Formats: sequence, structure tokens, C-alpha cells
Amino acid sequence: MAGRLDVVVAVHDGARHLPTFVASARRNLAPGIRFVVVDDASTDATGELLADAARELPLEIVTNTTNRGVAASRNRALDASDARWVTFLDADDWCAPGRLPALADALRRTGAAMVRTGHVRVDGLRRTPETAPWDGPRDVAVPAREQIGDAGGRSLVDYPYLWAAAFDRTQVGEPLLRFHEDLRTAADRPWFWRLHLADVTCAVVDAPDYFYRRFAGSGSLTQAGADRLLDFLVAYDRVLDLALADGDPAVERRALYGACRIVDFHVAKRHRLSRPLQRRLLAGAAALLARGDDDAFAVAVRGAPPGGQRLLRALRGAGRSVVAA
Amino acid sequence: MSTLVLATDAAQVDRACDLVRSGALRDDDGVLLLVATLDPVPEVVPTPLEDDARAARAADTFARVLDLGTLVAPQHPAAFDARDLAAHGPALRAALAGVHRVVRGAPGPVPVLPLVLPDARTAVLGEHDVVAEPGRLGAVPTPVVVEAGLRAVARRAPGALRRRVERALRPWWERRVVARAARDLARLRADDPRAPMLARAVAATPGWRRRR
Repeated sequence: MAGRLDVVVAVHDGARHLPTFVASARRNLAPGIRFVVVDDASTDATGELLADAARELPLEIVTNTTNRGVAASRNRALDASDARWVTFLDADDWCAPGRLPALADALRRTGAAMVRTGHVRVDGLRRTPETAPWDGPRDVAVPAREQIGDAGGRSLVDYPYLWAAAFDRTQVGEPLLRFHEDLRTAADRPWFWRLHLADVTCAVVDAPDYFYRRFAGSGSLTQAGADRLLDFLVAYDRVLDLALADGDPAVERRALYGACRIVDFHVAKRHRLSRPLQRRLLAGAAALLARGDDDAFAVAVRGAPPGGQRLLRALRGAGRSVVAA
Repeated sequence: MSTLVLATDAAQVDRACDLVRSGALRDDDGVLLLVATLDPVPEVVPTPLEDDARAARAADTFARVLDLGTLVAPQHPAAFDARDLAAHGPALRAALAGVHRVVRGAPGPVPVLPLVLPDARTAVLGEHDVVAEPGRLGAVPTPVVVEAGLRAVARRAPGALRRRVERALRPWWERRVVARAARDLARLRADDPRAPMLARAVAATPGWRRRR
């Protein structure tokens, strides 16, 4: 287990992007690095391509006979993994050469339970670098709780990119690494919140870039259908469960702020949903925003975009009136 | 003053080496080699200089060997445009200082360089010599600038009217959807007061199908 890094990859019908993934993996090899790939009941040539790749790469293939979704697939990969360090990749993305060895080195160097990095968003050929939102010292392990922050601005706890992070399982512990399998999207939101609220350390480090393909089309299990999209509400409900149970007012404000931001974002993009789904979105948002303390919500909503604040307050009012009735 | 050779594949690197060694390509302050990988995902493909023998030959032949991908990282060389000059311009200009002529490995659009060296003269590598071209490098299009410009124009028009109408109707729309959300939640609560409201709201909102 010591000194090894397992790279968890969940893929469903990803044949189109697998050649890039394999080429990227080839340029990230180092002693102790292994890829644990879960083929989530693909119906295209994913199985054959992975079998070919396994002949030349340290790659363990786990196959789901039925489609179980990204969270369950990642849990299966974690079950199959026995390395001390673990990180994640999406099969439609790629890494600059040397990124994975750099992540292992960063975990070793800093002694942190998790390390986090920036990434590059890819839209066609155009790339946009995104830094990990942390103004504190870099390359230094600090309590992950300090990186939650208060309402407003960006924070590491709401930077939910598994592939821009690596974890030391001897410090994080298996229960914290498990994903909620009922969440078809946004399972990484409560997952990161749980980690940052736990008694672990985190270091923000520099590493060769991770390239995140924004509109991949297929292959990534995080690309979800429209009705699955509403699971973000359930995910944020769980974030609020964690934050309210924690009892720290700043943590509660941060969680409510995140809820306001994400509801505002999805309401602004509601046109991509059918009308029934838009209705479910707004009813669910009212139930979500009804939670938490009035003062905390008042602070949180002020951080939301000005054009959406009135609606967010009205949705909370609607939700609370039903709860109170 | 120096000449820069832009090579986008191994054959162009070899040809440029041959021409410099034969004396057909030379300049007062030497000749630089700039290698550019224009594959859609250049990070995962070998560059022409990953072949050790070729890299050694190029290092012996040219005054300096540069990699365009490294100079503009993480941007893709073919998508580099004026927006990126603020971040990358100083380093690019420093690396390419003194270049007055750019010799392209093949005709066609040139990545990055027209934005950084617009006044440089241009030429193309021939089989046995260098073929000078009229005009300056600034007149040569970069690969995606024209296409990106057209996309921007196409994007601007259709949503504008919808957005204006939406802004005007927003207060009315908000009142309507909030009232409906309250009704939906109240109905869920009446159906089963103990069930988690949010999960049920997300799973299905009652009455929608009935009323339609």
C-alpha cells in the first residue's frame, strides 16, 4: 500500500475519448502508479479498448454488468484499490505529462491528507486556467476546515473537482471516501464538504495541468441527463445537513451561500430543462432554501448575483410558509 | 537579427536541419527552431523532438530550439489569440527577441506568431531552398481567429431579444413560479407530512400531469 497511487476512472460508453485517455496515461507512468478503471456497462467499444490498453499499461479493469452510475462505479473502484494514495480521472479528460507522479510527490512532500490543484477548462481548442480558490500558503498542509471560509467569494469546499485532488487513505479513512450512490450528479459536493469538515489536512499545490473537457458528449459519467441534474438539490440538502449539524455559524452561512449560488445558476439556465423539470427545480429549490437560520440566509443571499436575490428570498419565503403551516 | 523556423512535424524539422547545414538557410545572429504541435490534444502526443537523435541534431544545428506549446501553455497554440497576449506576450516577445524573419515549414495559417511578430518577413521552406513571400507575418491569419470571430457574431444575435423580454417580464414570472412552488410543496406536505419534502419535490411534483 505504501508509496503507491491508484487512479480511479469511471467510464460509460467512452470509446470516443479513450485513445486520448490511454495516451495521457502512457505519459504519466511512474513506479507505483496504477489505473483502476470501472467500465459501467458500456455498450460501445469501451471494453475492447480498455482490454487493449491493459496489455501495455498498469491498468485494472472492473466491469459493471448493469449501469450503476458514477458514484457507485467510483465506490467499486475504491473497493478494488489498495494503494495508500488515490486520485480520480474522468475518461474524457487528460493530464499534462508528469501530473500523476507530481500528485504522489506532493502528498509525500506535504504530508497532507489531501492535496488540491488548479485545472484547465477546455472548450473546443480554447483553454481557460482555473486556480484552486485558496489565498493561504501553498504547498503547506493546513486544517481542511480552515478552507471552508464564510459566505461570499470562492472557497475550496465549493471547488468540487475530484480530479484536481489526491488523497492519502491512511489519513482520510475509507468512510469519508465513499460516495452517496443515490446521487446521480453532484455527489462530489457533499463528499468534499464532509472532507473539509473532518479533522484532516489539505495542501494546495502546483502540478502539471489537468485538462477538463467541458462539453465531452459521452464517456464521462458526470455528464448526466436532464432529470438527473436536479440531484444537485438533494446533494446540497446533504451539504446543509452537514453544515447545520456542525453548529459553526460561518459554516452554515457558507453552505447556504453555496445553495443560493447553485440554485441561481440552475434557474438562470432553466431553459435547457423541460417545463415539468423546471417546476420540480423551483419546488425543490424552495424546500432547500427554507433551511437554516434567517440571519445566516440573509448574509448568504447577499453574496448571490443581484439579479437573482429577489427570487431566492421569495423561494425561501414560500418554502418556510409551507414548513410552518 | 535572426531567423525563426516554425516546424509542426518531424519532416519539417529534418528539412530545416538540412537547409541550415547546407547553408541555404542562415542569418547574422543565427537561426532559431520553434516546434509547434497542433494536434487537438498536444499534451498527449510526442513532439518531433522527443526522438533523441533528432533532438540532438536540432540542438547542434540551430542557435536555439524552442517549443511553442511550452511558451503558450496551457493555451492551445492553434487557439491562441489577442486575449492571451496579456498573460503570454512578454515571455513570447522575450523568447523571440531579434527575430525579423519567420520561415514556415508549410504554407497555411500560422499559430501565435502573427500576433507577436506582425512585422516579421515571411518565407516557406522549399525542398532545397527557402521561398520568400510577399507581405508581413501580421497579414497571415492565425488558425482559429477568423472562425472564432464568425462564431461570436452568430452568437450575439439570437438570444438578445429573448433576454430583453425576460428581463421585462421577470417580476411577473417570479411571482408566478414562487406561488406555484409553494402550492406544489403544500400539496406534497398534505399528501405525507412526514416524508422528506425536498426529495419528493425533486422526484415528482404532484398535479402537473393532472392539470395538463
